[in-house]
Amino acid sequence: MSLDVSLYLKVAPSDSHKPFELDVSFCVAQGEILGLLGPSGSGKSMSLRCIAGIIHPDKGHVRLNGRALFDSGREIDLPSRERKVGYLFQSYALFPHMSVIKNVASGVGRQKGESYREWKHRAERYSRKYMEMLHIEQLASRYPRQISGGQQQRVALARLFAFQPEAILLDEPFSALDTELKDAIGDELKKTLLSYGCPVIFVSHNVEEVKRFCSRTIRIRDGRLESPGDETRKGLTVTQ
Amino acid sequence: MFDLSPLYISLRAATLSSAIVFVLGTVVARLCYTMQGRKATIVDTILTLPLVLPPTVLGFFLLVLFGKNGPFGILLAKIGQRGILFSWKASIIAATVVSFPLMYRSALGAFRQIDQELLWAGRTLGMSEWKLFVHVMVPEAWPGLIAGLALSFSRSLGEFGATLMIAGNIPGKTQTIPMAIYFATAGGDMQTAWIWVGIIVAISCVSLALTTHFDSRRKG
Repeated sequence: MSLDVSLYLKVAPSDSHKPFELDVSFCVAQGEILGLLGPSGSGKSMSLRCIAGIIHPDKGHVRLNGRALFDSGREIDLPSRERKVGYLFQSYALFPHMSVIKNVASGVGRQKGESYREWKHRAERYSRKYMEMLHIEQLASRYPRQISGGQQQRVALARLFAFQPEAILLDEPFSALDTELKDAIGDELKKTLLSYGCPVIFVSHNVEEVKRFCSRTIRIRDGRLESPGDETRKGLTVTQ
Repeated sequence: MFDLSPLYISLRAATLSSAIVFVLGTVVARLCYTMQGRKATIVDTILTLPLVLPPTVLGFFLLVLFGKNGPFGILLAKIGQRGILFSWKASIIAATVVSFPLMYRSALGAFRQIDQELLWAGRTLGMSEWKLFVHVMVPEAWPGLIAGLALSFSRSLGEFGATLMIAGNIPGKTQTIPMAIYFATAGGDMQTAWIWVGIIVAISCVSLALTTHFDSRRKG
C-alpha cells in the first residue's frame, strides 16, 4: 500500500516564466512522511498539484494503493474529486463563509445507500472526532477570519482527516506560522499524521523543518531529483 | 381619484423580471465561467448585446420574435399562450431582456474574483461542481450577485423603449411609471408627472439604501 509517482511535464515559456521541465519519480510508503525539499520554482508544488489532479502531466503515472489516478499509457486521468488525495494548501484555503465545523464537515461525502440524516450524523461525528484530536472543538461556531493562523491550520487539517484521504499532501504547511508556533505544532502534527497512517508528502524549502518532520527526504532542483536512482529505487524495492 | 395602477404594474414587472434575471444570470454566468477561447468571446458578446443596443432596437427584435409569425410566438401559441404582446407579460419580457446583461456581467465578474485555491480545495475534498457552486461560489460571490440584482431591478424599473414597443401604453394594463411620466408630460399634466417622478426617485433611493445595508452587514 503506497503512493507511486512518476511525472513528466513540459511547460512552454511565456512572458512571466522560462521554459520548465518537470521529470520526477518517487514512491511513498504507507505511514511514511516523505520530505520534498527544494528552492522555490524547483517544481515541488507542481508535483503535488499533479498528484492531486490540479495540473495534468504529459506523461507518467500516479498510483495510490494500487489504484491508477493518472496513467498516460492507459489514458487514465481521474478528476480531483475522485482521487481521495488530501491537499493542505499554503493558504489553508478554508471556506470563509462557513463556520469551523462546517468547514471540517465539508469534505465528508454522502455514501451510497446512506440517508440524508445518516450522512449528516456521520459528518458531525467525524468532524467532532478530528476537531477534538486537534484541540479545536471550542472553535466550532467561529469563522475562519476570527481565528489565528495556527488555529486555521488545525481546522484545515481536521478538514483533511474528516475527508478520510488515502494520501496527504502538505504544501509548505508552516510557511504562514511564526517559529515558536511552528515548533509547538510540529511534533504534535507529526504524531497525528503517523497515527493516521497514510502516505504523506511534505513540501518545504527549509532543511531544518524537513529534517525534524520527515522519515525520508528527497531533494528537487530545476524539476529533477538531485540523486536520481538512489532514494527512489530503494523506495520502490521496499514496496514491491 | 389619482390612478395608482402604473406603480403596481411597474413594481410587478421589475420584481418578477429581477427574480428571473437573478437566477438566470447567475446560472448562465457559471456556465460561461468555464468557457474559453473564441467560443467564450462569441457567447459573451451575444449575452451583453442587449446592454449596448438601443432599447427600441431590442423592442423591435422582440416584436419580431414574439409576433404571431415569430418563432417564439408560434411556440407560445402551441402551449396556449396567444397574444402575449401588449399584455402585462410583455412588459416582463422586455424588462428581463434589458436587465439580463447587468446581472450576468456582475455575476461573472464576481465569480472571476474567487480564489482558485478555494475551488481546488473543494474539488480535492470530493465536492462535485454543483456542490461547489451552491456552497462555495454563490456565497463567495454574494455581494457581487446582490449588486447585480440591484442594478437589474433599477434598470427594469426605468425600462421605457423596449416596453413601449412590445407592451404599449395601455393605462391600467401595461402603462408603467416611466410611461405615465412621458405621457403626462407630453399632455401638459405636470402635476401627475411630478408625483410619478417623486415616487420613482423614492423607490430608487430605497433600493439603493437596502443594497448598501445588505452589503455592509455582510462585511461585518
